[in-house]
Amino acid sequence: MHEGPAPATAAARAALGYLADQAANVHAASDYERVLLTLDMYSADAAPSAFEDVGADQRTAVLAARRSLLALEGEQLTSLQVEILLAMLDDALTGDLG
Amino acid sequence: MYGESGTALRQEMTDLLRMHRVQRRFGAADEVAHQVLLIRQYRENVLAWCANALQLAIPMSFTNLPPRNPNPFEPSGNLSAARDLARELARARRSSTATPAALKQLTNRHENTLVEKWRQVARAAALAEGDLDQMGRQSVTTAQAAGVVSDVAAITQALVVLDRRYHRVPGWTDLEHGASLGWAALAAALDVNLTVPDHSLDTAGWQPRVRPMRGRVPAGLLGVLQAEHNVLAGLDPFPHALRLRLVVDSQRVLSARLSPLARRTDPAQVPFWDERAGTYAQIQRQLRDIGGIRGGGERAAAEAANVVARLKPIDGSTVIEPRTLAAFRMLAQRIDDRIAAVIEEGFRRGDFVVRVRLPRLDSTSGNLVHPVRARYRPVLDADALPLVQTARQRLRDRRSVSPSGPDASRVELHAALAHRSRDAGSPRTLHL
Repeated sequence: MHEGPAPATAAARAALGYLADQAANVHAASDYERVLLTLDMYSADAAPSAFEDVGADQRTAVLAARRSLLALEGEQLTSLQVEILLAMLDDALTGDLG
Repeated sequence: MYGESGTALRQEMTDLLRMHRVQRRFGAADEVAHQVLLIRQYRENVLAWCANALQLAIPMSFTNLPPRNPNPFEPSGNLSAARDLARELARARRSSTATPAALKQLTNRHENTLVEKWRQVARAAALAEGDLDQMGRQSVTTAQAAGVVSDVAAITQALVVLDRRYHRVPGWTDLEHGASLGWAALAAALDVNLTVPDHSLDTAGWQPRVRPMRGRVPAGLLGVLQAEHNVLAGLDPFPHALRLRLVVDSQRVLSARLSPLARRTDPAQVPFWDERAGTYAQIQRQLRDIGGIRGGGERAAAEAANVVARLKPIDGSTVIEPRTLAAFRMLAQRIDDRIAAVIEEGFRRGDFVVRVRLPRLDSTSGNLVHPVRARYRPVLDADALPLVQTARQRLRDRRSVSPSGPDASRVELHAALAHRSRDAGSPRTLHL
């Protein structure tokens, strides 16, 4: 396996990018994009890019993003940062579905 | 901009050319000598503009006449008319005894109408020189150089015509070799007009700096407009890659939201906003793989967040005024230009780098997977990058092309040059 937090960050970025691209409206897309931007900011923008295909649907992508963010806790992000990102993701998802 | 300052110069010169019977326009006999000296000083300012503008054009000015000698190692046999004109201008300036008017003379109003008009011509020329510095930084094409030569030739011809007209004024000193200067100007104008001169340089030159709008935030769309204006002002310093992504996001949201609002006010603008939203969605995707550590743009990022936040409460039933829509469009085009410039400059300077893509995990290959050491790699060939291509093709080339034909001031100046006064004192033929 890869070492360090790079794979998890890359996977989270890919999932968030997928969600932003597939969002139902432009505000939801912007919200997902902001989660991604905040993640980049927290990780000092030192994250590699990920492989393209992250999941077939929104549900898989959301689960992948959550799982990857939680995996980063203690590695590259603090618990508070992870909580903030998860809350932002939930808000974005609410805007997307609603 | 060169277009604005050049238009001002041509308009003032046109007005001056329309002032006939000049001897009667001077003041009392004891004042004439001083006024004539002042006018000669103002003429120096205009000559200075002519010479400096020509210097900008000369490296790219080639004669349109067929070369007598096609061998590039030998002289072509045909000299460039623009170079001849530059030489004549330099000779006229060298032999003149008057010094260019100083700031005090350029800024203080004169009570005599004729001298005042000359002052305005000289002031326009001095202001127009400020644009030349900025224009020198960009590469001028041959067709654009021809446009500049054509402008200089017209102003020089006007100076020669005026020189003849003031010939009988007591104390007037003619331009040295005025006739050959006039012929050189005519030859240069004829030479460049063998092709179609390109006046797209009109948009180049000095631009006033965009200042952020402060104060109370207006309600509704005007608040968004204010934030959008401040985004443009904030993009003046080079933005950090992350902040650029925030700005791009706000522009995508803005374009997508304005499109349905524009449908009611001005349906012709809907394709512009739809296309812009698509462009920014694409740029946003492509920017995700770009990183960087240097740059500012905090204000732009903060105002971009304001744009998005202030757009949220605006619903589809909001009516957008045509003036507001036009202002949004103007700002959008300027932001597009700036973002395209930032993207290109960022890669050229090496501030933007591309993320390393993680290799796909393949459990069946049996190869060892190496840990990723590098996060980014520098861009060696920025032109091949999809992001740069998108910015170039969809942000830069899409903007409205400036009118390439002569504008009204150019036509009027030529009409005034050809116009003869009916009074007996003026010459019946055009003396050059």
